Amino acid sequence: MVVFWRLIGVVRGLWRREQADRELDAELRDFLDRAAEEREAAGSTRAEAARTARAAFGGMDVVKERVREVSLETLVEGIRQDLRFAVRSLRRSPAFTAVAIFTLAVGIGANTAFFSVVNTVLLRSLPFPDADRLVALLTIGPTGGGPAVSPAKLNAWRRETALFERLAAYQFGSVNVVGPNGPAYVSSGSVSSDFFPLFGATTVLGRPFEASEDLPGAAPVVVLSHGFWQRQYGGAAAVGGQTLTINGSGHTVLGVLAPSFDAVDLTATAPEVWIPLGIEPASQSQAAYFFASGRLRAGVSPEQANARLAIVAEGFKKQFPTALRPTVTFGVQPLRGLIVRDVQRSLLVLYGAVATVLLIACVNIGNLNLVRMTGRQAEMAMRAALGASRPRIVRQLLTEGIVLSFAGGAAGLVLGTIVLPRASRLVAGQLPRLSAELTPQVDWRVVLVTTVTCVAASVVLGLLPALHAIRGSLNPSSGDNRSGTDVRRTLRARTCLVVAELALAVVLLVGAVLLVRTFAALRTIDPGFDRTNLLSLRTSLSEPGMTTAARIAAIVDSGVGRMREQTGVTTAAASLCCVPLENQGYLPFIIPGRPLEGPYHDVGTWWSVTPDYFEALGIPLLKGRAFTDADRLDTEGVVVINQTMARRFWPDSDPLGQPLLLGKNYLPGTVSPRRIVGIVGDVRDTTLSRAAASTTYIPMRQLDDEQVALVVKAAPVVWIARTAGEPRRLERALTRALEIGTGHPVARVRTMEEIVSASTARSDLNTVLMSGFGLAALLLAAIGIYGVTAYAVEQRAREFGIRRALGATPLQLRQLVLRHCITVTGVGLLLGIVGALAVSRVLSSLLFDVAPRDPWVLVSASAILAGVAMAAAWLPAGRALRHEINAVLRHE
Amino acid sequence: MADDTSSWLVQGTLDMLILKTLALEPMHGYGIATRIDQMSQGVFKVNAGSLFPAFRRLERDHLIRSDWRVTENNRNAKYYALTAQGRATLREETRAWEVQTAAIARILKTTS
Repeated sequence: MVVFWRLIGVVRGLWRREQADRELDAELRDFLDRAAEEREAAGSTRAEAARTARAAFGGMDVVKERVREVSLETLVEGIRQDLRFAVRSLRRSPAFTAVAIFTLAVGIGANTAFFSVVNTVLLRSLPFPDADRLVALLTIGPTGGGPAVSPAKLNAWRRETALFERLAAYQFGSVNVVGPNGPAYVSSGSVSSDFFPLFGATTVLGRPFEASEDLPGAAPVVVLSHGFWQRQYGGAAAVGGQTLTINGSGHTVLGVLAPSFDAVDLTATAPEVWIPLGIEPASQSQAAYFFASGRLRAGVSPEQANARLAIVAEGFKKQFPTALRPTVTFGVQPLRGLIVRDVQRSLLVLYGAVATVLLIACVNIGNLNLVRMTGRQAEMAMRAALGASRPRIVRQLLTEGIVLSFAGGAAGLVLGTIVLPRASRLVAGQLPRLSAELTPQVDWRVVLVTTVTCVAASVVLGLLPALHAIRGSLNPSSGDNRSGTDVRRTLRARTCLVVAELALAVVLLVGAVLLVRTFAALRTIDPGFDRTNLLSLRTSLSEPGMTTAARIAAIVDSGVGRMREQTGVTTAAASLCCVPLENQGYLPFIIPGRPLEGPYHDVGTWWSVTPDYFEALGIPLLKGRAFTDADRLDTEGVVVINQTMARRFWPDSDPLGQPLLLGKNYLPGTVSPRRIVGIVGDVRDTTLSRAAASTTYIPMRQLDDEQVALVVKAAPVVWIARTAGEPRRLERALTRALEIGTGHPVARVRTMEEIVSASTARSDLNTVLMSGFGLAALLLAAIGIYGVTAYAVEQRAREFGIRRALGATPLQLRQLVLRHCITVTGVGLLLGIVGALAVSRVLSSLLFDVAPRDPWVLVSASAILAGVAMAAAWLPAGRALRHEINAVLRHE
Repeated sequence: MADDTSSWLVQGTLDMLILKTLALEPMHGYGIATRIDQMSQGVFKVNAGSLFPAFRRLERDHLIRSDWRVTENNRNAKYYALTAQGRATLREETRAWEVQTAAIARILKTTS
């Protein structure tokens, strides 16, 4: 600590300008006084003497100014000298310099690359006008807020014009279009007319749609994306007024959006066509199938908005007694926060990890520099003797650190820009606000943070030898005949550094092991279905005319039938909406005859499927029966539930035969109780890491016209084929069969294996990165402990020689060296474990099936590190044996 | 500043004169100025605007060093003194100066 304060003093001394100014004042006054006195002594009057002295002196300010010029010149000259000297001195030890710059380039490059991802995803403001006032509207329950919005809620919020300047509803999906270049299945945005002004989307041609065109029953219109216009119409100016067939009906083209409008912050796949969402302003529908965002009025804080919306929620509950549970309310969240909320934690954790790796790397280089310093003791002493002041020497060493770290930083920036596009392709799709085409942006924040990182690194690099220089005797005689104290001091300093490195490495390793455990746990999970040999394909039936259940049933039957005919397909099925782990539908249910608090008993995932769905996916039927072709709209309504729901709601009785009311107030059409006919195994359908919730399945055929119309408008039909062999091999045959059988294009063909691994991709990415950082830390710590052991052995050569001569066995000598190393490692591990216990909780949301403070994880991370540390120390320890007494004495 | 003869003094020359003055004994700023004036018998009148920057430059180059001392009548004054490096430089510069002036003198004699 003493050293630290002394260093602070030295650094402060470098800039003691005020003091210098005061001194100059005093000195000049003294000069004038003496001149005046002499003139007085020569016979002038006092006043006369003062006057002439001042006149001879010239302007006081001119003198001061000239002196300051010299000071500035001195500073600049000094910095130039320092830089020149630093470069010269670094060139004299090229190996050290190369290693240091390379390590720093990798460390700073990784930090820069990672920070630019953090910047792009978390920090960059949304590219929309007044983005800081953009909020998402949420339905907030005890476990958090959900962004899904129903027409009834939207209409309730739209009345709050005192809160919001504008409020827009939007939903992203895919549509079938038939343009000038033929049919295509493209991504789409269904948005309310407020969307364009809210998000600052302007047109280069024509106009966006207006409120009057955004109503159910209005003539269909469409606004094109710039890219779609270029591709499909070759950028023709006469596109306005043309008709584009979307989902089977003609839409009049109103305009083309500016190319600068980028919806990547709202959806990963940029919409090609924009069509009205068409929410009836008086709609009381509770089907939540879109999102809503608004711009708060200037001066309205999110807290004020929340307070007001809580009142709105109460009114809403009165108007729709069955829509919301008592504990649920409405609220807002800054839009950016909502977009990044899932990734914020993991990005910050990983950024912390990569910064720690850089810190370890800097400590390591500082350690190497310390060794170099010991070799330079003579040089430093000589410079001190020649009049170089201590601050000057410290400054020089810091300059060396700066030169090193900025050289490393420059190399790192180059490395980063090479790696960044590749890295971003790796993470694209796992992170919001980053698409495959969009590389993270390097803006002033990235440059600033890189600079700060470089400066911080150079302080760590330069500080260590600087501390050493201050404490060192700087005595010429100590140059070539170094005292034992010097050696011990260097050794102690280096040992402390290695302990720090080890401790940091333990923390990172614990994080890595925790994530690897999560990775492994996710892989051993049984998702509840057989993921092998399954192919899923999608068809959108969202088009006019698809309003009768019979029509949809005919298409689905035809599609399933065609699939079944293909050789290699063992079972074929379809689901309206989704497959597990991709998307889910939710519906609340009521168990008739049971006491009820709130509007319903629970909300569960909900599937409408064809009879062979369970067999195709390999979901086991535990009790009762699956659906058959005999379950139709005119037969008794039936439902199959999962095991979790059966256990939870019928713990002591048999649910089979019991009634269940599904989707009351949520589904249009006739909703009457269904009879539970079967129980199937649990399926992890939202994410692998979450146990199945209550789940209900109904036969697709038992949806009435209104229900079918609603479902196919919001979701596609997903076809599922279980195959005898590799499912991808049937991709083309099945696509063709379905397109012929249904008359609709097929898209998004994925195997179930792909869907399962995509569902863990983000977690896997965390694991890969964290393991990489952990390994880097391990390697650096190993290098550190190797270095300090080698140094200790070298310094104790004479002692070892004598011990050997006195009869110590090789094993004893080795133990002697290793004992020191064990102490060092032990202390490092201990500190590291304490650190890990303190910080590992930040990982908890990223973990699955392992506690952040799992003792086995701590033990295994420590064991890995201890093993590597011992191995790294073993090599130099062996060198202790080679010192022969004669050689040592000769050296003396 | 009519009597600022130092303005035509080559910068290195003023530095050398300061070093020469300090070679005798440590001295404060005013003392140095008077001493140069006396030694040159009034030819060089050094003004403060040149003198103080020169002190800073010499200090920067480690040719002189300074410290505050209490003077005869209990006043504080900043004293300058020669460093070992300054002494060596003065020796070298003096030798170089002598060689140069001798050469210039010879040239002037020959041409006139």
